[in-house]
This record gives sequence, C-alpha cells and structure tokens, in this order.
Amino acid sequence: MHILIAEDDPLIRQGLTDLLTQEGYQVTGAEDGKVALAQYQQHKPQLIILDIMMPELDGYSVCRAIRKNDEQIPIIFLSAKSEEIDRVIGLEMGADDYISKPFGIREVVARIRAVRRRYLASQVSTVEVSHFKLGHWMIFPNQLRAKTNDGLNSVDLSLREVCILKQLSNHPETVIHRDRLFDHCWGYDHSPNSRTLDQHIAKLRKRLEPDPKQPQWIITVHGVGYRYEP
Amino acid sequence: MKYRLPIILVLLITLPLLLLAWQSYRLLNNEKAVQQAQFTQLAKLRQQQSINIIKDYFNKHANQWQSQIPQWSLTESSLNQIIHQSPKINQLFLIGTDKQRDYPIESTQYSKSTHHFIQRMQTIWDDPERLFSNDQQYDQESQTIAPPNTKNFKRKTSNFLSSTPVKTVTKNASPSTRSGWAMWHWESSVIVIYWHQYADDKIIGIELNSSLLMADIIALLPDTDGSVEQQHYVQRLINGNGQIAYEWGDKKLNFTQQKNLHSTLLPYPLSTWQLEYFASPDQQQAFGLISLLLLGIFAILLFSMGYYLYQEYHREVHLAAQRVSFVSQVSHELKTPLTNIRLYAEMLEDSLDDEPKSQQYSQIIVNESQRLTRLINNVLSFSRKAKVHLSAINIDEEIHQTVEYFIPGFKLRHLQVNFQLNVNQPIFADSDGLDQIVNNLLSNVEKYAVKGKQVDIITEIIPVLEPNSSAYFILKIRDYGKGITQHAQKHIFKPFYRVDDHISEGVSGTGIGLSIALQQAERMGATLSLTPVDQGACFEFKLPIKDLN
Repeated sequence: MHILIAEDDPLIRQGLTDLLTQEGYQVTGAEDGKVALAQYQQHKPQLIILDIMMPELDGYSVCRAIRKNDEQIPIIFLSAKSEEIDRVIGLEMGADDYISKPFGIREVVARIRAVRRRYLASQVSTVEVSHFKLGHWMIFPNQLRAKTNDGLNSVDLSLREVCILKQLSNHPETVIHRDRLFDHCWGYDHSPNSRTLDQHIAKLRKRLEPDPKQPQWIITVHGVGYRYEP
Repeated sequence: MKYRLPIILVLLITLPLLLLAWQSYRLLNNEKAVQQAQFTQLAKLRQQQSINIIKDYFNKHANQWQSQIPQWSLTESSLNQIIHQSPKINQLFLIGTDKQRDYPIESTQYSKSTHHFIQRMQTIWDDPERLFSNDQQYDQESQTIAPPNTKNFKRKTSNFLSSTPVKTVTKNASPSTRSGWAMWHWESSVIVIYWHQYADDKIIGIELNSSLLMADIIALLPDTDGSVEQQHYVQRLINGNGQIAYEWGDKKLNFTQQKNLHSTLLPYPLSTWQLEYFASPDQQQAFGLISLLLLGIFAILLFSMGYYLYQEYHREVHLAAQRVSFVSQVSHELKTPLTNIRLYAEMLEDSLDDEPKSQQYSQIIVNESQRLTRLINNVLSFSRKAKVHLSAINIDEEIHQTVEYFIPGFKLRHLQVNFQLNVNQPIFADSDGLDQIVNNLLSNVEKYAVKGKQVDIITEIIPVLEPNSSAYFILKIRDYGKGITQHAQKHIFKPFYRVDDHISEGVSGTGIGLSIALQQAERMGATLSLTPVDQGACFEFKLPIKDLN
C-alpha cells in the first residue's frame, strides 16, 4: 500500500516516513502542496496524509484538487490548530480523519489502520483476502486484526506483521529463512538491519503468545530463521 | 457578559446626571416660585405706593369739597359763579328733593357746554339714585384693598363702563348728610363726579375737570428719572377704556411676558382703572443660566470620566486578548518541536532493545512530552472554545487508550491501574473532550494521589430508571490518596484554584485542569462531579446516552 505524506517540516515528514515504512507501507514524501499534487499524479497512492499549513499550496487546496479526481481515496489531515480541524470537518472537505499535533506514533498508526479498514470495507472491488489461522488466533488481513475464535480478544496488527504471520502460517512446521521473510515483507531492494526482524517477532510474540518467554507457535531456529508450530 | 461593564458605565453616568437634572429642575422651579412670590410682593408694594398717592389725592379733594360745599348758596347765579371761578369744576348740577333737576335750570337756550353736560348726565337725571347705587356694596375697607378676585371684578365693572356710574360710596360726615364719588366713561372721556347730599335730600354734583384731575394725579405719581431704583421695572396706569393714561419707570422694558406682569385694580373711585407693573426678567434668568452651566460642566466631567473609564476598560480587554492570543500563538509554535520530540522518542523506544535502563530513559522522554502535550492542549482549550464533535465512539477503548499513556509513568511511581470497563457499546460523545477529561483527572492523580498506590477506572451504564429520563454513561476515576478537604471541594472546579496544603507543595500546575475538564463535560451535555468516598477522591463523569439513531 502506497502512502503520500505532504508535510513541510522535514523532521516530521522523515519521522512519519520511517514509522509507516516500518509498518509495511510504501511511503512518498512531499514538502509542499504543489509537490504533493505532482507526487499524487505520479505515484497514485492509496492513502494521503496532508498537513494543513504548507507553503505554495495549503492542505485544503490539495484536498480539493485530489477530490476532483478521486472521491474515494482516504485523506487524513494533520494540523497544529484544532480550530482548523473544526473547519475541515465543518466544511466536509472530504477528509476521512484528522490527527492533531503533537501526536504519538500509536495514534497515527491506529488512525491509518482504521481509515484503511473503512476504505477497504467500502470498496466493492476489494479482493477478499481470506483469513488464516495461527495458534488459537484467526488473522484477518484486510482488517489488520487478529481475533480469537471466541471473538473475545482482538489484537491490531501492522501490514508487515500480517505479512510475516502469513508466511509462517502458509508453511507450518517449516523453517522460514530470515532472507525469505525480508524479501517477502520488506522487499528485495530493502536491506534492513537484521535486528529489525527479531524486534518484529518479539512484538508479535508479546501480543499473540500466551507466554512470550516460552513461545508455543513462533519458534526461533537459531542462525536460520523461524518456524510455525501449529 | 461582554457588554456588562459598558452598560454599568453608562448607567453610572446617566443616573447621577438624570438625578442632578431632576434636582436642578426642581430647584429651578422652586427658585422661580420664590422669585415669583418676591416679584409679586415687590409689585404689590410698589403698586400700593402709587395707589396710596391716588387715594390720598381723592381723599384730600373729597375733604376739600366736603368743607366747601355746605358754604355754597344754591342760587343759580352763585352756582354759575362757582363754575366760572374754579378751574377744577367743569359743571355743576343740583337735584331737588323731588328728585328733579334744579340746576342747570330747564331752558330752551343752553350754552353748548351745558347742553353736552345735560346729555352726558342723562342717566343721572333719569335716576339720581344711581349716584349712590353701590352704597351697600362697598364699605370703607374694600376701597383700600385690591379685590381678591380681580378677574371677576374686572368683568363686572366693565359692564358699567358704557355710561353708568361705576360705584358710589358714602362718606358719612353725619347721619343727615352724605357724599361720595361717582365716575363713568362717556364716549372717549371719563366723567368724575363728586356729589353731596344735604340733610334735606337735595343733591349737589360737581363734574370735575377730568384732564386737570389726570394732570394732577400724573404730577403726583413718580416721574421717569432714570434712577437706579427705577431700573428693571416699569409701571403704567390703564384707564377704564383700556388705554394707557400714564407710564413711568424703565422705558426700555416691554410688557411682553405675562409672568413678569402684575396688574391691580385701583381702589374707589377709579375702580375700573388698572395699575400694571412689569419687572425685568434678566435677574430671574441669571440663576437658571448659572445652574444650567454648572450642570453642563458636571455632565461633561462625568462623561469624560466615563469615557476615560471605558477607554481604560477597553484597553484592559484588548491587553488581555493580546495576552491570550500571545499564549495560544506560543503554544501553537511549541507544537511542531513537541511533535518531533514525541514522534522520535516513541520510535526510539520502539526500536530499543529490552535493556531496562535505556527503555526507562526513552519512556521518560515520551511521558514528559505527553505531559507537555496535555499542558499545551489545556492552555489552548482555556483560551478558546473548541467546537464539540459528537460521534459514536467505542468509549471503553477510547478511555483505555488514553489511560495507557499514563501507565508507564504510573509504574515508575508504583501506582497501579485497575480497569473495570463494562460498557461494550458505542456511545455518542466528543472523543477529544473525553480524552482531555481523562487526561486531566489522571494527571491530578499522578500529581496528588501517588501515595494511594491504586487508581480505579470504572465505566458503566445506568439504565433508564424513570419513563422520562435517559440512560447514563458513567465514568469514575477513583484514587486512594489523601482526598480533598471539605473547604477545597467547593473551589476545585474554579479556574486557577489550587489546593493549598502540604500535598500540593512543590507540585507544579496551572490550576486550570479541572475547570477545563468540567467545561468539556458540560459542552457535551454531561456533568463532572466529585462523589464522596471513604478514602481518596472519586470523580464521576455522567453523560446522558443519546439514541444512536
């Protein structure tokens, strides 16, 4: 999934790019409104994050221009001024959500997941990606969620985590090599720090395993990779 | 509320001004009344002097005639001689005991003047009683005092004016003889008769030379000499025909204003005559002018004072607005660096190893930046009123997420959070507002109730109890700290109030957290209150549940 981030502050833009890349999204940054529109034309992203106060062209104008072409694409506004948000919502400019600065990463991630979920649910053409089983969890890729069979527990997942889980689940009781996981979930041209994968696995275990210290389902195969024990 | 002070200012200015104006108006009226009274008194006094002169003149002549007449022989030749000798006497007549005219003797060849005399005296020849017809009506006293009801009197006497005697009065020298004056108008001239009735009922009448008489009277009355005493007033004598007979005093004045005019009827025998007195209005207006001027000055003073106060108030309001706008501007400016601190600290925390110290350090950065976020949001909420966005939210999840942010900080302080979230349904609420309420309540717990070791977060739904009431969503945040004193409970929701005791010692804060929480609650139609508990403090947020449809 491709996300376009239009934000004039380079640090915020960089931070969000890193964060969302880690989440498993493909991210393009734009430093002002004009560039944002150009990037939109070029990359055709599936989600747009727009800062309101930007040089050249502000977020409202960018939003209006994009909405002329595409009424469906999810747009999330970023703003330091809550009163601007009031106006956006009040004018019903077609924003799907807003995030007010200063925000935490969990909030950003949660809102993007929520918007994506809504967007996918509203799309008739969405290819139904079937859910799969992992331990006592049922993973729903389109919802970015893992649910227990009884439906009582639910865990939010990132795109990347779903991808890792999918790889493991597709080949039960088989060692999946680290490189294969990287190639699949990070892409071939991506060479992340090898610890990144371990961190992802640790986080998944924390949330999914009954006892993260003694994993039942996601087993480490030292020096090689991981194995799923159903 | 915005216009309260200007309204009070306007009232403060207009009320005393109105009161003052009213008082001055009353004072002016009183003064006028006093002046009118003084004027009337003075007018009466001055008129009385003139009247006395006229009265004395008539009395003196009456006495003269009274002493002379009895010595006259009533033969035709001697009467003719008397007429010729005395310039004061115009004509004479004598009426016999049979009420018939004895003199001038009936003849066919009257002189022209005698003929005229007989003509103008026709009313007397017809009824000699008319000379003293008013005998009973007026006594000595009523002559000297001006009749109380001058208007009526005027009307009554003017009826007489055509050719009948106005009035006659006796001056009894002895029971057997009587005498008096009779006077009336004939054509354009005035006829003045002095009559004397002998003991044998014969009546002798003297028609006095009226021009001479007037000349005498005018000579007796004051002259216009331009003296200081005569300034500011003028008097005039009006005859029975309404013509001015004589005028003296300050000639520059006109008889224009009715209120400065005082007229009196003259006493007997000139009863149809009037004496008019007119005084200068200048002195009266002076006072009014001065008080008006004073009032004006006072009004200007009051207005300028009010204007000054209003300006000051305006300046204060403007300054306050500037300060608020400055504070929010600064807060906005703080947001971008804060976003970066928070964003990168959280990402750093995520990518760090499980090494406890580095985890803890990054945790602290994250927590503090969150605290700063809350602080800035509070300041901004305080300086402007945000709109409320009510939407159906998963309230338990929302609250849980907000509380999550506090958990790391609470752990550092050994404070345990007990969740009892029992609402498994979407509720119509303002997510930002709710977030701020929970934030502010928990941040108070973090500041003041760490020693309680625990904090309960309870959500529940109170179902519809009565037919016309709604169901309620309840959020309780309860700590086990020192609690809040009875005295402080009354004030904690007021802005800038901070509990002042050893618990709050050394704890920083702005004192606006609870008041903002209350404001936010009220904005979404909910209440926020302190509910009594055995230990610690328990805040209850109570929101009526709206039908989701």
